[in-house]
Amino acid sequence: AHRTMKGINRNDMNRIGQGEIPIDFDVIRAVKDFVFDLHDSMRRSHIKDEMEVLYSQTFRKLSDDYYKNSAWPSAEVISSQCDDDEIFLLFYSEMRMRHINVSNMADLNDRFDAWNNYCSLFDVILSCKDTNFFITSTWAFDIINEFVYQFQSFCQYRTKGNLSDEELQLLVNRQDAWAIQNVLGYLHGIIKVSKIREISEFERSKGSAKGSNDCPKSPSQLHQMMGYYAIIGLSRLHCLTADYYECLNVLSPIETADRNSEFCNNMNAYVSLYRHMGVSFMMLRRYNDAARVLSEIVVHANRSIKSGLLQKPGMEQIPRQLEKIVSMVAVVLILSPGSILDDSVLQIAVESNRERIAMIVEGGECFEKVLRDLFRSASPKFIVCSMPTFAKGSDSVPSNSLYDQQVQLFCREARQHVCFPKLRSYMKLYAAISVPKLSRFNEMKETELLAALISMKQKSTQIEWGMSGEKAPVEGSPAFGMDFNYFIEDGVIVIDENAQKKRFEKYFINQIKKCNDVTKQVKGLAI
Amino acid sequence: MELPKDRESIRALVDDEYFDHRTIPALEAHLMTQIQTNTYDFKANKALLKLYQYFPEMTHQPMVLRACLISLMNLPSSDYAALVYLMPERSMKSEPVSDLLRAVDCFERANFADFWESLSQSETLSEYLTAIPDFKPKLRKMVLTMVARTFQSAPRDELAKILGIEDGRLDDFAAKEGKGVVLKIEGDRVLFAKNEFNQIRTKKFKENVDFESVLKVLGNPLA
Repeated sequence: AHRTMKGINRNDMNRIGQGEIPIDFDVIRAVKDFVFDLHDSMRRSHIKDEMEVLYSQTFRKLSDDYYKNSAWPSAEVISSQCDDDEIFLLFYSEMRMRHINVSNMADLNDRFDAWNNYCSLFDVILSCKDTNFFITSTWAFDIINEFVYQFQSFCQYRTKGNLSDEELQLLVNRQDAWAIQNVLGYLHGIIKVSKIREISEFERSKGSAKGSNDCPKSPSQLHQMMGYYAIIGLSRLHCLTADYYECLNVLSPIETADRNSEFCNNMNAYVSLYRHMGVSFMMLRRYNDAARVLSEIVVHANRSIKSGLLQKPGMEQIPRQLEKIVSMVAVVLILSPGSILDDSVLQIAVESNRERIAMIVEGGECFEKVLRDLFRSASPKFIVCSMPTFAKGSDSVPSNSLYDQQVQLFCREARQHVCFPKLRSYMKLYAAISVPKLSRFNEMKETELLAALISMKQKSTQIEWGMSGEKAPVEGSPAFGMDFNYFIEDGVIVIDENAQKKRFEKYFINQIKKCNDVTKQVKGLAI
Repeated sequence: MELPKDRESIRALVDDEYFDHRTIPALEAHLMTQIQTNTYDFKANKALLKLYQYFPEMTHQPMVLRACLISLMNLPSSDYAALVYLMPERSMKSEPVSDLLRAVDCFERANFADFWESLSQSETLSEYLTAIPDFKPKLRKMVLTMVARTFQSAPRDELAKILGIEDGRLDDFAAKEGKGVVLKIEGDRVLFAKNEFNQIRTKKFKENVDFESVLKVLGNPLA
């Protein structure tokens, strides 16, 4: 309670207590109006564009103008502006706490307060008692994303190992706060209550009968939005806890390959979703899919940069995320060069990591080091989500352990690829080469070479989803990651390069058509 | 591999309650059932390892090892890789899991002779493997398939070494488990059946231009 009344001196507090002055006496008019308008759009008018402006722009502007280094007024202070609507106040409190977090003012008590608020907020959503709600896509994503982010941050905090006795005691008393089973419980609960899975299944099986009465319905627009983004949040959480399979699996109800999907209009959601999918594909060694998904982000982001979309408020995180994604593309490029299809993305990845990629050619220790560095700069911050054992001196799982494990396992895989780049480059030069000769070039024994050839082929074998609308990302058909085939016959390695399938016909036809159109236009101009 | 019969009852737990520690005993029992009935349920086993991750004090090392062993039988899927990422770091560093990791490393590098050797060297691993009699035959078949994709033929004695069996057993193996992969054995060479990967692929030229577009280009008045 002491924090909510920060900045108000004791004299004023007394006057408030005695009813002499209203509780919100020092709140700026503009802020009061904002609360009123936001409440109105959420509960009464339900107009998407209005809410979008209020949420994305007005809130930001007011924060910059009046609350740069302090917290927004607490819920009780401004509650008169929104008819003391308890549920709306929970949403408001969430926004307020998010703002506190961004300004780095959070301590352990703040984290507990945030948890309590999320519990109240999610409990209300789960109870479905009130369904007169509207929320924008941006807002819904932000709530869930922040929830996952705060969980990530709290896991790092509580496993740090240098907590004070007081902090330890607080943590022991509140083991329910930010416990993994509760976090997952809420996300699952929101998804379940939104019925988004049932709706998606119905729409897929019935197709055109979308608006029909048989179609399962969500309790409200807000529930549907929250359920939708809870799926994306859950996917991210699974990736952060190294369950790459589940990260992809939970996405089945969402049309991840459809450019008209809800999340595609929300740049932050789009980048987050595809990035974690890309990481998961890569860790599961599905390099074709990893390359494709990550390339999509790069292409889309670059288009957005050109159109100025990334200058808008709310897009601050994107450039940094983009850097990480490009590093991940470089990793995939090194491990599976045949997987990257898009020339522009290839160029960007090579440009940004020119020195590192040049070092790879040397092979040997450099290879593993470069890949490890790239991986470390590209990977998300994996978290240890289990509750630490609070007894002093006992061996809890240390904070970095899952992250280190992923790096270790990645390096293990990378080591198995060490001799491949050189082998591949030699093989591309020949249609056939004898085993002894190739072994000599690569300074390997013949038996080593043969094993490497088998291994290289095996590692290129993967299943590929291919961004198909028909299949879920977690499924796929067998595919090959290399752009050429080889086999051994009578001590000779025969290399079979794929015919370059350049689609010249289409290009020429398009250009001829354009030329015809221009000619027609010119002819039509009266001189 | 087939799914175990009790899969339906487990399904609800796996889908909705995989973060409830009380599910652990049911999932462990389910894993034992898979081993006994030679069936396989990846999602349930993964759920078990996740629960160990969430509640490390409830980890049972033997279960971790068993889950990994049977996931290997489903190669070349990424099941095994997916499980190893979830494994508690402590398991990774202690025997017998560390032995298994080393052995699989040999396997992935196609150092098959070393792979079989590593397996037999570890007493604990060998013990667990006696409860999973189908493990070695399955992996042998996998090795054979991998080799057949890269080679058109191989010398008998080399192949026997790679498969971890004695030369005398090779004919028998080729006839039974190697059926479809091995074409025949001629003298001291084993010939592999032709598959997509061990021969030159016939190049298919697909013309994908439709007639309408060509008409337009030619400026045909009918277009």
